[in-house]
Amino acid sequence: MIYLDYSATTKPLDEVLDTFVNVSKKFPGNPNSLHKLGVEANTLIDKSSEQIANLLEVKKEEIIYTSGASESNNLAIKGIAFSYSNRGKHIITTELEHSSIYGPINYLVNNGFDVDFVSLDENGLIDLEHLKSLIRKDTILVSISAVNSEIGIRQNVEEIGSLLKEYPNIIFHVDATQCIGKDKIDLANIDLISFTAHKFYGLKGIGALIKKDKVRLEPIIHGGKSTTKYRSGTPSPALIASLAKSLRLALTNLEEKYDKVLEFNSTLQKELSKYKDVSINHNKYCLPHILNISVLGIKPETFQHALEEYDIFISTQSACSSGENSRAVYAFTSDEKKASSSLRISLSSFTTEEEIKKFIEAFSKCYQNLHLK
Amino acid sequence: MEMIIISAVWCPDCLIMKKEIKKIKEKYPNINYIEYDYDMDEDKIKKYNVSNTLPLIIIEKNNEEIFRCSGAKKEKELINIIESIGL
Repeated sequence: MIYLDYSATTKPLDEVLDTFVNVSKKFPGNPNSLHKLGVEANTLIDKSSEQIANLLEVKKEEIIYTSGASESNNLAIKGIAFSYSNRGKHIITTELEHSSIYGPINYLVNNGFDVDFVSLDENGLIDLEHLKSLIRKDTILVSISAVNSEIGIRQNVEEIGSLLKEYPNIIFHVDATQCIGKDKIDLANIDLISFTAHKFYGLKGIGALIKKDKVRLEPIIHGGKSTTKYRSGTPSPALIASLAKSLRLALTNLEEKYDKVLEFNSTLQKELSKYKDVSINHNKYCLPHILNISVLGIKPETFQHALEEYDIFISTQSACSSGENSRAVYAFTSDEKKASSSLRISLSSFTTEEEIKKFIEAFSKCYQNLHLK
Repeated sequence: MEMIIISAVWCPDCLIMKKEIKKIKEKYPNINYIEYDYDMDEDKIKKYNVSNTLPLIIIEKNNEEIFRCSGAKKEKELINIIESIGL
């Protein structure tokens, strides 16, 4: 099997699974219990939080554990909206977000909030002047993903955060789901950061929202105080410890891994651009882990299934989206044909040269077969 | 005249269109607007043969479909469509 859909999810590493199993066996107590077993479980969570905080250069008290990025995004957006609605009801976002950003914003718009979309420049990057022009007295939240999941455009969220510091009434949320564990990110000027473990060889079912301590947040899951008052529910020491493990492993030799992926991406671009009906929807601002292409005139599902015959797995769009056209590819290319025929190849530092070679061979066969039909 | 609007919460175009639809509703209060959610109203929208491109706007007159379009449209485009059909 050649798996090239790492942006959808990743297979957990054995070390991460071992951590999960060991902690599940050795720390059976409820971390909220006051007896010895509870205290041990709670201490383990505290140690894991300390590790995560050190890796991300945040405070351990700023970590809110969630079930994943969708919950983190919902908590960030609804939590800020409910908490600061007396200040204003205006939100700014982009056309390159995940559905778990649009979902809560849609809900808020139905309940009296207002949303504006910031324009992108010719490279797919946020137009900072347009962003400034959209800011109003009642703007309370700007939510921008660090890396778009379909095209891989890496926004300069560090610079945007610095710009937004001039507007103290605005909370800046970054969905860093496709960024953390793959690329360096400076969280200093970002108020809220969402991410999930399963994008970097951790387990599904655990994610986090980093909330800087000056930010107020209304919980969306109410109940007793758990590891944090912002998210009720018995925390899972095993999942939290596995998150810490997967993050530590992902951030080890990050630059080396990034360069390896960059090389694979360059090879693929070089090979695939030889085909006249292939458009490479990628530029230097995109993360190398994602390579979006359009095979013009062929339905993406058809090409995806053709590759599947060779035991190769890629994605047609973000796994959490629908629609015939890719909104992100259209926003990036302004071309409906490209938007309706896009494929996402997502790479990893675990990808091998052999896999890239086999993919290129299979791609050639699929392309020829489908064009002859 | 009825305007059937089918949208989904996860769809950015649907979110973008909300403002435009609001303006249309204010300009044409006599149109009967029926809104459906792509996921929640699955049974009700079956009869409209909905593709994946949202939002879907269908205009019916005397219970007959006379127009349909999908994807993001500007207020002006919607006005042109309504005016060409005639209220």
